[in-house]
Amino acid sequence: MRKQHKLEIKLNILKKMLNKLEIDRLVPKSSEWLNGQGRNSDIIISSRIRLARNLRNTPFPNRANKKKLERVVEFVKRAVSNSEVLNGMEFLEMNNVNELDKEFLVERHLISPFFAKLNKPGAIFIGEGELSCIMINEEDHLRIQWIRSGLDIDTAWDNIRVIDDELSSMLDFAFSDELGYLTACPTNTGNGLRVSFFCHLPGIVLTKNLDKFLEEIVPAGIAVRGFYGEGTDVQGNIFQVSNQITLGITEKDTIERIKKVAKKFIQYEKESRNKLLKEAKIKIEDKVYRAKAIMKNAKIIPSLEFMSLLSAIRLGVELKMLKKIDRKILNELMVTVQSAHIQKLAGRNLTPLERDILRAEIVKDKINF
Amino acid sequence: MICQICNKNPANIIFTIIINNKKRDINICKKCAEEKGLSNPLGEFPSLLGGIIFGMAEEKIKEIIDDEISQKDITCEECGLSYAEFKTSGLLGCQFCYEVFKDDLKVILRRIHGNNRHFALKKERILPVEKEISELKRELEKAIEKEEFEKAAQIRDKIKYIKKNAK
Repeated sequence: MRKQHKLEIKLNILKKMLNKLEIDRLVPKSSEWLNGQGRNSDIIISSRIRLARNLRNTPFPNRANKKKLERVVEFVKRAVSNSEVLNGMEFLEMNNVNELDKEFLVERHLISPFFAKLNKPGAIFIGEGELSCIMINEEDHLRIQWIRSGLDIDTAWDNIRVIDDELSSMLDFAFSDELGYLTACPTNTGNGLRVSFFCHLPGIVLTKNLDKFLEEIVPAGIAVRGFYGEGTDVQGNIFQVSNQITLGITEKDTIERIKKVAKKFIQYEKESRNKLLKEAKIKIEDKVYRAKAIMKNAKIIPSLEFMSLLSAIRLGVELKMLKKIDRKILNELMVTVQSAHIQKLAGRNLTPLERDILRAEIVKDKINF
Repeated sequence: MICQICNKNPANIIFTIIINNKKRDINICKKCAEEKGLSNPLGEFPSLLGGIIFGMAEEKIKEIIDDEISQKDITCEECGLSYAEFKTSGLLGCQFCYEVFKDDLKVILRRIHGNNRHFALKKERILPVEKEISELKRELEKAIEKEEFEKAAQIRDKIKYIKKNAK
């Protein structure tokens, strides 16, 4: 078997010790992509780009033994530590992470639910403000992601290319001229690129037009999902839209396609909100004020109920039925009142009821109606 | 009928949802309905059971692989993945699997992507081969100068390898 030549030449030493990621230090902070800035952030919450890469001549994570997986972690670690662009990233090996912390990382969108369940050698690298993240040994050896607030796919792409180019110059990726980047799942083969955005679509849902809209607007090769990606439920009218085709299309074309779809979502959502205002204003006001009343007074708020209340509050603020609440606060709550976040904040494991009580308290504290 | 969410309690609520124009009934119990937030102000839109609301579902991809994969008894020698295993997991085991399962993959990739050839901004994306080789040659000279022959041999192999792959 051929060796990882580039690595042997350039990366025989760890140039700089990487800082270890302290999960507890993340607890009081929130991810920068939730700051509610960026274009169309009233509808598009965030934009994300993800690249799938594998090291040449090493089995993909699903077939690699423990030793090989550890070697992948070591190689990427050396590459990151040798790169002046990347060695500010914080590093964490997953085998030292307990279940609650894993769930916490999933809630922050730093790792996937699938990765959290794996019990194999793996690691993550996290960049400043949690905008960038590299998962090692998920379905592929490397899963690189960059998230931006609002509709800002272009910046995410410019940024993620820097990471990809940097790593490409030190690691040998499995690539063929005919098929592009070779990935574990045939759904990622080619450019290994997944472009997606999260959007809040209460207007389209409330006008009961979602199915019709998706049917008419969403072209083939685009998927619509719930809040936490594959295999997760829709929560609080928040949807994730992403490309499904990665072979035979350039990265630029994929990005343009997703941007086009995003613009249609924005336009249609705005039209739907206007329609609601014209035809069912009192019903919407009723929903919004009911949600406000519950948030203000309830003692127990389960997580899914919170997501749908938040959707109503967000809509109420955007339609000026409620006084202005900073979008950043609403975005952050989406993540910070999730189960693991609440327990990290409390500093101990809580029963579901205790969580729901604490959630109600946090919400009251954060939102000043 | 048992609840399709918790698979424990008897189901007493039926939700009808429409995915990709197909009607689907979900039978759930009262407890799960409440937990899933189906009795909330903005809860008209039920939390779906699966992930994909629109587009090609994961099961569909498994189906494609299931449809297209031949019954040949071939195993990838590099990683040990067999046809049967690929069929169940939907995942390839290593880069060499792409060669071993080539014929079937061509059809599978075409059905997933509508295409089975890579088309990307290759020049833009990858370090130009010439530049890389000239850099390595310089390193090679340095290594020979310093009489680091083991390292020099490695660099020589690397250059050969790159040239071979660039064809």
